[in-house]
Amino acid sequence: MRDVYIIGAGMTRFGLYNGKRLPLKNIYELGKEACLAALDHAGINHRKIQAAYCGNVGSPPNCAQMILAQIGVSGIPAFNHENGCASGSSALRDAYESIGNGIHDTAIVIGAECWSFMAASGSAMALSGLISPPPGTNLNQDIAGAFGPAIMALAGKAHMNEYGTTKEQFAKIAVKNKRNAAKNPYAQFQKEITLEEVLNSRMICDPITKLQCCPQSDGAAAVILANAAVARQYTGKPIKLAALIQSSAKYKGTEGSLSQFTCFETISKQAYESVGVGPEDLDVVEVHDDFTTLELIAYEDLGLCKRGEGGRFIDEGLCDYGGEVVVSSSGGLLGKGHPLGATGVAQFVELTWQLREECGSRQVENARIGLAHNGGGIGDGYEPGAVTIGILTK
Amino acid sequence: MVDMENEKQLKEGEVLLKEGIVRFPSSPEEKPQLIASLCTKCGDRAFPAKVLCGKCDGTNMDNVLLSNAGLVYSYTVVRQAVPGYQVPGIVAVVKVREDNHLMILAQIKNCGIEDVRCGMEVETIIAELFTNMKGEKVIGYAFQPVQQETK
Repeated sequence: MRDVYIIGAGMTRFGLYNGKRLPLKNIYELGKEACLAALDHAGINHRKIQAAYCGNVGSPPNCAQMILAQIGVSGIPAFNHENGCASGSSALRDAYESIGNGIHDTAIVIGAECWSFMAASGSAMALSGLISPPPGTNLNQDIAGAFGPAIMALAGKAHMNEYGTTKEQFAKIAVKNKRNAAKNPYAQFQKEITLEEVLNSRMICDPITKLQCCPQSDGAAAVILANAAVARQYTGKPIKLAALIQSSAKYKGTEGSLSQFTCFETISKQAYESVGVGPEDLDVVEVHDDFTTLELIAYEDLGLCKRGEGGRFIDEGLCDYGGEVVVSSSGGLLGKGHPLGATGVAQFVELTWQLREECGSRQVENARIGLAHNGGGIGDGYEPGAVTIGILTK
Repeated sequence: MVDMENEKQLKEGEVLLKEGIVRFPSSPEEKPQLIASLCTKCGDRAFPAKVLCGKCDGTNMDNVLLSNAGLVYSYTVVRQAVPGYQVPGIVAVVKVREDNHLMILAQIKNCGIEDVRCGMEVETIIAELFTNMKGEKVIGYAFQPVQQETK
């Protein structure tokens, strides 16, 4: 397989584009802004793009084509990916395969989501709750009534029971990620919060309080991929997409335990092996922190610390600036926001900027190797339906 | 092959969550039991039932009734849910007696939110899970604490 590079990365600010918090904008406007930012970052003309891939959960059909028509890109293969909260990284995975296997030399990958506009304009699709499966088709969702937070709370509770992890340790993750978000002009939340505020916020599913849940968000992100020859023409700072592995939850993958996500552990090992690095080599990591419990478990699934030591890892600040590796420098889903289809692409935007040393006050010193951890939807059992691990090097 | 067909005993305004997931008791002495699949090749039990085996290449599956006894492995108290659900409510993962790897997500009924514990003994019951958009009560399986016999 040929080497694949990210030569440009851009995104909109994440937030609610509902005409109140942020101006009223639709998904195509947000997608366009992200594409223009990525093209500009790469310094590449729009007519040089040979293929397009778009991750999205809730838009009407052909999201990629509708976005690209505004910016003069047409007559190329364009693919739309729905894979829950991992839709963006799923789109990226197929673009990576196409460049790596010599099918295309350049590709644009877009992640976009905007529910606020659809709700504000009275769209039947947004208002009907189409995103939820009908009763009787997914038993676990029917039973929980609050599927995401309940499953992540059950995982957190199992971790507390098996390893003595405390509710304070989970809550510290929200404090860290919102502190990072406050330094990120693209983040939905721009304000630091205290441990007391996190712990005293409304309980959703114990041990998860409101400030330990990611918000509802709109936004878009885009990256430009290229082979080595094209990358050399456009940038002196090409970032290598050294591995991008995707899988789905394995049946009974946790083998009787909810305190780990075996699917992430399995594919992160594959990714490390294919690049020839280990978790100790990582400088910056973006994880799928939709709830604090998932970030803590991710420390262990990714091998950043030993199984059961996630609580100590956050207590000692080893996942923060000045520690062993900076996790969620962008603010993560908790602080930057979580527009479903955009999230997986935005993780790679942040890592590209970090490795190019363009992150201003949240820059991780000497960032050379980054990892993205993105999960989405419902699989066979209690692990995500789609899981992606990507490793970037410079 | 176990006979899974049984009278569903639903009242006016009630609907079953899904056919073929729980066997209703046919007499007061019987207890409700979940219906799992059993791979005739490797013996893997799956709930909800699978048509082909998820553990091996087995293609012959039987239905099997699970023991109605289990232990609470992990739980949470849900305090915010989509419309139609009673909050606060307990949602747990229950490990059934015969298979440590068979984990059932279920609501815990007839138990105070302060009283639920990991390791607590529970039993399968038929219960109302939520009210659907048509205002019907959706009936399915749940668990409740095992009543301690008074000696």
